[in-house]
Amino acid sequence: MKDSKRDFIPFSLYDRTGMAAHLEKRAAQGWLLDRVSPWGWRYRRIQPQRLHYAVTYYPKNSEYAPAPSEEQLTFQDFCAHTGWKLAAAFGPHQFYYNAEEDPVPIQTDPGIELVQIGKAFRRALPIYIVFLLLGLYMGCSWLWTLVNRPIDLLSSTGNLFTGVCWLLLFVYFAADLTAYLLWRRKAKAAAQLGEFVPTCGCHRVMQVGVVLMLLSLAGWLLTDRTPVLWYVLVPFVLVTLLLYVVADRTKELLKRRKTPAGLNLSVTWALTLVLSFLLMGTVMYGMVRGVRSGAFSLDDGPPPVTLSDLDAIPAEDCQVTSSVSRSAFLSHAQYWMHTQPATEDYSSLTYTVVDVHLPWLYDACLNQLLHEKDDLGVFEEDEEPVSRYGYRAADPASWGAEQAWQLYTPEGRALENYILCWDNRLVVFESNPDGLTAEQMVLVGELLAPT
Amino acid sequence: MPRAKFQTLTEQMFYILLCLSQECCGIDIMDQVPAMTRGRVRVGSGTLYNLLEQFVQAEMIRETRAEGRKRSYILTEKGREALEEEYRRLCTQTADYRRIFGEEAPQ
Repeated sequence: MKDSKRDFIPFSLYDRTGMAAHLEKRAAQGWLLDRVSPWGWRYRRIQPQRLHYAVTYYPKNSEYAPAPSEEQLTFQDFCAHTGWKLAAAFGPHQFYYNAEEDPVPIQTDPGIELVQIGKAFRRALPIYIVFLLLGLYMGCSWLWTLVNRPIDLLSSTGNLFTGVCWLLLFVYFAADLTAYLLWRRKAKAAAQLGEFVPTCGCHRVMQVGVVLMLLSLAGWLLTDRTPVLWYVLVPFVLVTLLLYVVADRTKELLKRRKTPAGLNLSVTWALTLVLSFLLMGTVMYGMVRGVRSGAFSLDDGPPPVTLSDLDAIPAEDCQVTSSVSRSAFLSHAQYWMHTQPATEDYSSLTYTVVDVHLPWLYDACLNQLLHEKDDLGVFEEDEEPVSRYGYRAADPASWGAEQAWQLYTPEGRALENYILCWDNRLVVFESNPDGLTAEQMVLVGELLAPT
Repeated sequence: MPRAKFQTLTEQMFYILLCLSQECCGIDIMDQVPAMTRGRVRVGSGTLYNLLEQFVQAEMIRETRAEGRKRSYILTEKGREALEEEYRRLCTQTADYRRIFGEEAPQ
């Protein structure tokens, strides 16, 4: 039978009612809080019993302090006199329990408690502001991209995941801050009458958010087959976990060695910062070296069309760059290739292949491609463009496609830039200014058509 | 409208200061207040700790002795004035009650 257990409920900082109720429930199940750390709450087995818990706030306390200060010990003496024993402390929180039937509460003045919670919350406020602003900016950018550039967003499960994370973080911090301010307003009014107001935090919002984030991450890992995922994401996650462990272990080691809180904080953060640069640098260096040596490749197979296919140019004379991203919604592959620059028979080819896996996204993707060149229009100062580049319908039969568009300059000159459409595939194809022959167009159509 | 700090005293503040008319430590106060009020007023340990800190800062009490972590305090002149002011306020309230209802005891 296990003698200890752990759990982690992401209670709001000010939610003393929620925390106490949770701990009282655990005591009734036979678990007494033993330790609180960044890894969660640890309990030790006891006889199931009715215990009272109280969460108090001591804003001066630092989790880097080697031992409780004299003031804290005096506070603990006061609490012990009324039967309250310290179970654990972490940051500004102190968790006391009492086995008496009707103990005198630790706080009997709601005004004083309000001040203590306010001080603790003010210390955490910068974190709230940073996450709110970052979450707002990133979340709005994500939504804007989703509406205006769906291909860029929906083809990358990584972008989808990070966007979901930022949005959820914004929602959580906004909800938590609002809940705190509403509680504070009520508690302030009640304190004038000597009454306490129970807190109601947002840990359920956080729990739902964490589940959604994990689902997004699982979706990313299961659906993304691009090599870059495993060469970049996995080392990045491992390094982040390692840094977290190193920071925690360093802090605990220095605490055991009675290092003053300020020095502990400085050393732990400095070490973490240096180590993060070193480890991230090593990961990047290893990746670049691996790619250069051919140990692994970030390429995703050969391009469907090459300059060699069109002009019988030897493959070794072509430089090819590609970028591929895939998700359950879309696949998006971009290819850039050219022969040696500044040569007489310089030749280049650029094309993008978008495979739409969900038919209802097709129109949105086509719309993005059709308007991608809008910004190339002729502008007057601070004005809307006086005329725009634009795609006009072209003959799809030349390519064997179902639909085709060709790009035109504002002056009406046709450019060698086409959008070719098939049932579930969209291609933007751009070749040399002198264009392709009819045979080459047919060949390109055959090579790029979905199989 | 929020009241100015210590302009009026809460019941708990009043009895803590009253206890400190004689030198005593925090733990003594926790025992004395319920005894003095026959259990009607109870001062929580956290509340007492914070109030002692605030009273010292406001110079209403001063520390007299420290034996290890056991610190003793006593009322200062300023604290005494605050107590007297509160007493007068309570007397005025009592007098106002009597003027309206006479000497009869409330039901």
